[in-house]
Amino acid sequence: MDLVSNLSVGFAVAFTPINLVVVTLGVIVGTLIGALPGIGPVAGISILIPLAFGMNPTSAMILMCGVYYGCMYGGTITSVLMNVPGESSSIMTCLDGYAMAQKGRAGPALTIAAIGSFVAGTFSVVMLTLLAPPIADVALRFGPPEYFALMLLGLSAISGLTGGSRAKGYAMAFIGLALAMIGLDPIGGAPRFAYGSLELMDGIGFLPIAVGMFGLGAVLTMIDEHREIQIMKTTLKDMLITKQDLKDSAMPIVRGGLIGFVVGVLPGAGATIATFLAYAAEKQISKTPELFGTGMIAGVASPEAANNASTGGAMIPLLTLGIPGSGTTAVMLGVLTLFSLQPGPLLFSKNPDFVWGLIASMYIGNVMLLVLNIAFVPAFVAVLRVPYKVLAPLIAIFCVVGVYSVNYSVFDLWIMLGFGAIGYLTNKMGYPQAPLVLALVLGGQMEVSLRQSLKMSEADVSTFFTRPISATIMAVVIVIVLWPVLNRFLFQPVLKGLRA
Amino acid sequence: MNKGEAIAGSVCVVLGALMLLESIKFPYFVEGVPGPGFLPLWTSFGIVGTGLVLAVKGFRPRLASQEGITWPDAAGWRRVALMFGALAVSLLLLELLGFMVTTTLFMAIVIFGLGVRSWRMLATVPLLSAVGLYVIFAVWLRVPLPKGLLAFFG
Repeated sequence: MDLVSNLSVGFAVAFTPINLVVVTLGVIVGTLIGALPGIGPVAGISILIPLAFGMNPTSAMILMCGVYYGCMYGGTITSVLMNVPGESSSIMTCLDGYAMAQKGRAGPALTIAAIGSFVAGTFSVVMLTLLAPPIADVALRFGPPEYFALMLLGLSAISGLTGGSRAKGYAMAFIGLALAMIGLDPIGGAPRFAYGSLELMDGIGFLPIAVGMFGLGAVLTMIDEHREIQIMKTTLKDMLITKQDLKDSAMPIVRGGLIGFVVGVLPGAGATIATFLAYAAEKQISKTPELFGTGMIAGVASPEAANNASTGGAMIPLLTLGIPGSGTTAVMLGVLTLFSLQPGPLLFSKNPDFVWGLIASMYIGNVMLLVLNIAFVPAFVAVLRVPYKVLAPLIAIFCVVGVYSVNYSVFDLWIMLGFGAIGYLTNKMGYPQAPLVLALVLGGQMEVSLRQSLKMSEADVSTFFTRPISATIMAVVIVIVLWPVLNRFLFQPVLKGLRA
Repeated sequence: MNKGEAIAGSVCVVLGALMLLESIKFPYFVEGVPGPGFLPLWTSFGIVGTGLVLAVKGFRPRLASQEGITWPDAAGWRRVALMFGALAVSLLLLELLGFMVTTTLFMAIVIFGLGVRSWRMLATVPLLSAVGLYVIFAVWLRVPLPKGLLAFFG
C-alpha cells in the first residue's frame, strides 16, 4: 500500500506540465545524443548540466535521467543504419543490427530494439521501485565506516574493472581525489593546495571539470578524424515487424533485461558490459550460434534490452546509497550536490516528492521513447545529417556558455578548457575519465567518512574490518584491487588442479 | 620505448611528488586522529606509485602488452588546434566583445577552418547559433551573458 501511495505521489509530480515537457525534452535530446557517434550519455549529460541548473531539482533530474535512458535507445539508430555505434553500449547491436539492415530489414531491427528497450527499461524501473526503499532502509543503519567502505568499493570497481589498464584507472582516481582536496579542509577548514588564490580556496568545481573532460574532450575527439557519414534510408512503413520476429525476440528481451539490470546495479560494470554479457549469453543458448553476426534478431533484441535495463539498475546505488557505479551516475551525483541534495537513504524519507517523481517520470519517459523510436526514426536520422563541421563548434560553444551560466566565472571557463585538453589526451591514451570524476565527486565525503571513522575508533584502522557490513565490503574491495595477483597465483592454479 | 605512455607516467610521478611535498606541510595527526594532511599524503603516494608503474611500462613496453595510441594525422591535429585555439581566444575576448559577437566570430572562424565553404552556411549558421544560445540562456534561463561591445544597446 505504501508503494502505491508513493507512486501516486510520484505520478502527481511527474504529470505536472513542466515535468512532462522536461521528460519529453530529455528523451528526445537523449535519443539524439545517443545516436550521434562520439557523444555518449556522460558527455551529453555533462553538457546539459547548466540547462538543468536553471530548473528545480526534480525537473533537473528528470531531464538528466531522460537523457540517460534516451541515449540507450538512440545509440541503436546509428548502429543499425551506419554500422557505427552511437555510444559504447551499442557496439554489440552493430553486429546483427547492421547485418539486418544490409538485408533490407533495418526497420524491424529498429522496432524490435525499441520494443526490447521499452520492456526491459520498464522492468528495470519496476525493480527500482520495489528494491530501492528496502535498500534505503538497510542503508539507514550505515555509519561512517560502512560509507567509507562503500565509496572505496565504488571507486576501486570503476577504476579497476573498466578500461584496458588498471594502473591508468587507479592513477585517474588518485588524481580525482587530489583535485577534490583543493580548497578548504572539510573538517578543520584549513586551506589546502590553494596557494593564496580565492578561486582555489572555494575548491575546483565539479561542473567545469565534467563539462571539460566529457563535453569538450568528446568534441575534440570528434573532429580529429575525418568522418563521412553514410546513413541508410528508412521510412515509417519499413518499421513493421512480423509475429515471428516478436516470437524470436521475446525470450532474448527477458534474458537481456535481467542481465542488464543486475549488471547495472553492480559498481563499475555498466551498460556496455551488460550488452557484451547479454549477447554472449544469447549466442551460448542459441541453437544456431553460427548465425549470430549475420542478422539474427535476437542479437539485436538482447543487448538493446540489456543496455536499457542497466539504467534503472544503476539508479539504485545512486539513489539509495549515494554511491554511483558509473561515470554517468557520478555526473548525476555531482548535479544533485550542485542542488545541495544529498543522495542516500535519507533522500527517500526527506525528499519523497523528488525520488518518486523521478521514478514515475522514468515510466512515462520509456513509453514516450517507444513511440518516438518507432514513429520518428526518420526524423532523428534527418538530424544526424547535420555535418560535424557545424555540430562540433556548436557543442563547444554550448559548453562555454553553459559553464559560464552557473557561476558567471571566466576562471571556471579556463578550468573547463584545461580539462577539455586533458579529456582529449586521456581519451586518446586510454586513461578512463570516469574514475577521476567519481573521485572528485566523492572525494570530500570520502575524506569526512574516513576521518570520522578513525576518530570513532581512536585511529584504529581495524574498525573497517571488524564491523560485519564494512568488513564484507572491504573484502570485495581487496579482491578487486588484488585481482590480477589472486587470479594468477590462487584462482588459476586451483582451476587447473580441478580440471586435472 | 613508448614515448607517450612514458611521458604520461612521468607526469603523474612529478604531480604526485609535488603533492607529496605540499602534503607534508599539513598536520598528519591532530589530537591523535587523522588531520588535514592524512589523506593528501596517502593520495600523493598513490599518484607517485601508479605513475611509476605507468612510466616503467612506457619505458619498457615489453613488460606490458599495450595497444598503440592512434594519434590524429597532421590535418587532424590542425583541426584540434584550431578548435582549442579559437576557444582560448574566445575566452580572452568574451567579456570585452560580449557574448553575441564572440560566439558569431567563433562559429564563423571554426566552421570555415573545418572546411565549410558554402557562403549561405557561413553567413547564417554563426548568427543563428549565437541568437539560439542567447534565447536559451539569456532569455529563458535569465543568465546575464557578457554584453561587451553591444552593451550600448542595453
